[in-house]
Amino acid sequence: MSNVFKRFETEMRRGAIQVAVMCLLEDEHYGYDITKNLKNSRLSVEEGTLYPLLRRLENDELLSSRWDMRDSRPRKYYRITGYGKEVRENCLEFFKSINTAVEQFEVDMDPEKED
Amino acid sequence: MRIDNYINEVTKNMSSDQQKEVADELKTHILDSADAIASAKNIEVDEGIINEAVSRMGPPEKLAKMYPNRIWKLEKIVESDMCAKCGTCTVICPNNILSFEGRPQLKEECLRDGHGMCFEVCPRVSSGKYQIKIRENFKEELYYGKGSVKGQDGGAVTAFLKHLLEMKKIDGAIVVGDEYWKPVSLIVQSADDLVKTSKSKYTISTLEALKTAGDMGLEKVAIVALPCQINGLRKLQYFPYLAKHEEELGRTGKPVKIPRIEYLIGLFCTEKFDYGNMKKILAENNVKMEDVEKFNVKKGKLLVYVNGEEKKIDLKKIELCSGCKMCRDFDSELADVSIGSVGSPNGYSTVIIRTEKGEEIKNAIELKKGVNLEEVEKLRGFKLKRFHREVQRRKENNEFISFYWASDYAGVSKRADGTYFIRIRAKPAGWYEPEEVKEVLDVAEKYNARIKLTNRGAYELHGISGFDIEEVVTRLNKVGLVTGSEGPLVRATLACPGKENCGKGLIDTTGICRIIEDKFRERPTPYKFKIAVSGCPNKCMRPQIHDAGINGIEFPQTNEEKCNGCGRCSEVCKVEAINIRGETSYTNYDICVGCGKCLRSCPHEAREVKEKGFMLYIGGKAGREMVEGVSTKVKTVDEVISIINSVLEVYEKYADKPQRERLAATMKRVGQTKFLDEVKKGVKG
Repeated sequence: MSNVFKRFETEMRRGAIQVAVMCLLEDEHYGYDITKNLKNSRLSVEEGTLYPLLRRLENDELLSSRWDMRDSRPRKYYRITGYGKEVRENCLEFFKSINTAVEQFEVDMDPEKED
Repeated sequence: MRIDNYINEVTKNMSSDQQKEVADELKTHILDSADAIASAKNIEVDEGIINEAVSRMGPPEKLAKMYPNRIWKLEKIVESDMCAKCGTCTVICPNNILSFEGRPQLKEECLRDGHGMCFEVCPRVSSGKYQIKIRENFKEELYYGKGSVKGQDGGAVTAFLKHLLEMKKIDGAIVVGDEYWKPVSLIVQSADDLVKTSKSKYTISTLEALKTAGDMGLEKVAIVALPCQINGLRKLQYFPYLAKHEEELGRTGKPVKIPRIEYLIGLFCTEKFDYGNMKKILAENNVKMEDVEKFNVKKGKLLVYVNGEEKKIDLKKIELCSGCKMCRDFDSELADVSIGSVGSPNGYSTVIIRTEKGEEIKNAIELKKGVNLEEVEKLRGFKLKRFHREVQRRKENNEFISFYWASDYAGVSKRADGTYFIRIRAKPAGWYEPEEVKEVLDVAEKYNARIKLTNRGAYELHGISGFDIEEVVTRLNKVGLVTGSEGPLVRATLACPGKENCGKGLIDTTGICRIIEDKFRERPTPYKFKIAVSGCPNKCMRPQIHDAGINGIEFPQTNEEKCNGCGRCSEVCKVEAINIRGETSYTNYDICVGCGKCLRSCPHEAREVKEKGFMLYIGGKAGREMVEGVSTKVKTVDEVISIINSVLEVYEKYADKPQRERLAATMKRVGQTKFLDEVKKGVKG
């Protein structure tokens, strides 16, 4: 049973993290900062896994990035793009509608109605 | 440092531009993480903290897999400077997403990351020379001549093209033209335009014009090209034989549209230069590129003609296209005709005719014998020496090498582990002299190879390094061991011990095998073609499931005077075809297979040969699908040979898809009767 749930959890989490990152990057952040923020939420993520994801989202033009040379060490800053904002809207809509639907199914599971 | 090792492990298989960026990103992330760990523990960052940060990233392979990494399959060839910059890949992309600006590159996403025609046509991935050579049957006749049209040296190229255009053998020619010496590829459709293109260019030009010609609707062209381009274009001509499948279809469902290449005119070439760099060096020598009237390369110097004056510039100063160092072909070995200045007197061109199509140049210019072959050989040698130096350099610096010249030789294939195996063509019926086996042993020991005996009786040397292929094949050839029996051609004929060696044999299988080998050895065919010879109907070599197979037969008849009905023959008959009635033995010819056993076992020699000869099977195969060959009785070896010859011709005529249709499939598609009728006609004629 736990294997099945683990798979379910991983897939749901992957989708949720992508949306979370897109929300977080309304403002500019650098890599490790994003990890920290996610840790503080319930969507903790293994450190390594975030960085390939950021690259993927950037390839898809949902994020833009820039290297900043000012601090003690060069840092790569990310933020969401205009196109990313559109996609994010759709994702958030989608999550909410799924949530509503699932809640309704849960409510409908009234024990009195079971045959 | 552990952090650097970790980052190397993660990025090692990425494309070079992605590699650096990811490495830089990852480093700052890890160091930031280390900072956070240290501050939480209230200590300074040290090596230990950094290592902990690294370990939190997880195993490097796992991380590497998560990065989006779509590399073009040819990227390695290009970035390692193996690329000859021939431009063939760019021309044949069916989706037109490759561009060539100094180097070939993907313009947009390729759904298959280059796992298609571009890779398969690249002459630096594989030259395909052996399979091309056995199909073109190249000869080498050297002449010198002079066209009447103004050209580079003797104007031979220009004269030939003019002739082909005027005789309407082609509707256009693809040549190198220029915009103030910046090479561009041009389509020439009339003899007059030719004059504008006729002086030698020495830098990288691509074959863009070929694509344009296709779009324009030209149907047959001649192409003037460099050795590397000729190689790529030949691979294109023979694509299904080399790639083992049809041309790649693009998103539109069609392959790239290019005209039929009727004539390949190759140029002599020692190297190409980088245009930008050449322009710079000329400027340093106070020469403007636009003022140059003519270039030439002689004795290590670039000769530049401006205002009738000749200036010499040391070639070493000019950057040559680095891929040129890995080239082995000075005089366009695979062209129909090769033309250059080396070996001819001033004002004349050397013309090397290699094929029948190349012969047609004799109709365009007058050719004389007497080329200075030594001069040509000298430059061939120079190029090969430079090639070997570069191979050695890459070997020592552990740089990437693509052993594209492995397919220059017969019987050389890649193993699963990236090393090569070399197949020595089985000697007739598998008989070897001790010296030959000793040589195989010696070679195996010297080159650290394993010896494998194949089920078709060949020795294979496994684990040969790409660096040693040339040496090994040359050495084997010296003692008469020929490599081959691989690819779409007639494979080594299988034969059982036969009459000379086995008590049951009815025919001299070794002798017949030799005759078949002499006639058909390595003959190109649409798909592999296997022949087997068995000595008797026991058919130990399974001739009935070969493309062509024979077994010896001897049918008996009873000499009633000698026969006393003792019954010995009936006893030994394997198929129970003999009946004893009274004092005679009767043979049921519906059952008798002609094995001849009864003939040998009769104590009174009362059984004689009624009929002898061969059973011939055509169109058998095993493998993915088993098909038994169509059988006919044949009397003589000569008949066997002429039938097999006719079969090969009819197969070649009808086979639809090279490397897809075995003889059995072609016969089935065309219709057995129709096919065999044509074979019979071919034998009579």
